[in-house]
Amino acid sequence: MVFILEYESFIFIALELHIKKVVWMLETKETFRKEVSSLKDYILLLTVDAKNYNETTIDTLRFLINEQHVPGVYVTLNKPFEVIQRNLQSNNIDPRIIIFIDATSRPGGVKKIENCLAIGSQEKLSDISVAMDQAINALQTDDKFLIFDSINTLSIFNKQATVARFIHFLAGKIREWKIKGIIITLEKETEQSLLDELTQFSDFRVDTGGES
Amino acid sequence: MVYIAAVGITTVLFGIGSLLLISRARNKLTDGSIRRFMDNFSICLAFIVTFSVWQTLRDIYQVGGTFDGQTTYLSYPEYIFIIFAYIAFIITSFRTQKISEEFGFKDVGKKISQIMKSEQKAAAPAPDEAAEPKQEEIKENVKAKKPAQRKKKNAKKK
Repeated sequence: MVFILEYESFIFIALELHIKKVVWMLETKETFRKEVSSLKDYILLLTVDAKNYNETTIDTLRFLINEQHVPGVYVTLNKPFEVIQRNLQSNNIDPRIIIFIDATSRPGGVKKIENCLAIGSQEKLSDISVAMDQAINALQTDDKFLIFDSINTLSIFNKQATVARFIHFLAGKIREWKIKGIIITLEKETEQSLLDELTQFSDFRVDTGGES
Repeated sequence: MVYIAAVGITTVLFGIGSLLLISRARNKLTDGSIRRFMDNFSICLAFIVTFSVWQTLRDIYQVGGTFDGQTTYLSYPEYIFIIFAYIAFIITSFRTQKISEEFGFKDVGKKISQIMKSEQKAAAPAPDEAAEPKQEEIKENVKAKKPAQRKKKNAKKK
């Protein structure tokens, strides 16, 4: 009790900040929905905070699959396919309509598991590109999405120039395929020049990092 | 004979050109299945180019096999090169098959479209449910028409 009285003002400030953050996030989600829901193809740059990373990814997939009923391709460089599948199932999102390209480090090279292609390394950009192209073209619907998760992980394993070239390629391909492209990156972990380049190519930029 | 040599030289030049192109393309790729496929393909090509070089040199210097069917030991390496080229082609074709199994998503795409269709069917209202609103609409229309018809009848009576 004494502790609460002593630090009352701090607790109130913290609560206020938290509420502000929640409100800001809700506003962000709303703007995201407003801007994106009516469009057929776009490139969206999602800059997230590490804390909100999971939530944002799940929210994005929920919006695309449960609300818009669009199938698509999810390129993951952070979490293995099994973990993402489990997360989606626990959040009532159907993972069967997603083709996963798992570029996390695994031993054993390229492997196919159900609707997932495990590339085995974040450095095999050529394989990732070919897999993306094949997966997108295999989807027979008009509307489809591609989520690239994430650019900051790509820049850990590859040179900056290579990542920049890959971004150019990815943006060009998303435009060519006429699909909904969502590129996720951790704002604090991405170099400013790379972030500028990404912003330049994208139609929208949504920051879900909150006030730092 | 000169014509045959010219054809041989042209073939060798084309072969070397394609080897150079493959090497340039390979350098741009990161390590992975596609690059390994290119390696295999360039090995096939290398054997064929070597075969052509050997044959052209033999033609130019007029040694080894001749057109009347007589062959000497100098023409044997040609057979070896072409045999190796075909072996490399088989290996490359096998790798292509593996790549298509790994990177081919056609079946997954079909499955996804089936799932989408079944979901759409499940989400669509049942035929009875869909018919009901129509009947309601008809009733409403009848109700709306009745006062107008009555008015007309009254007007006729008057």
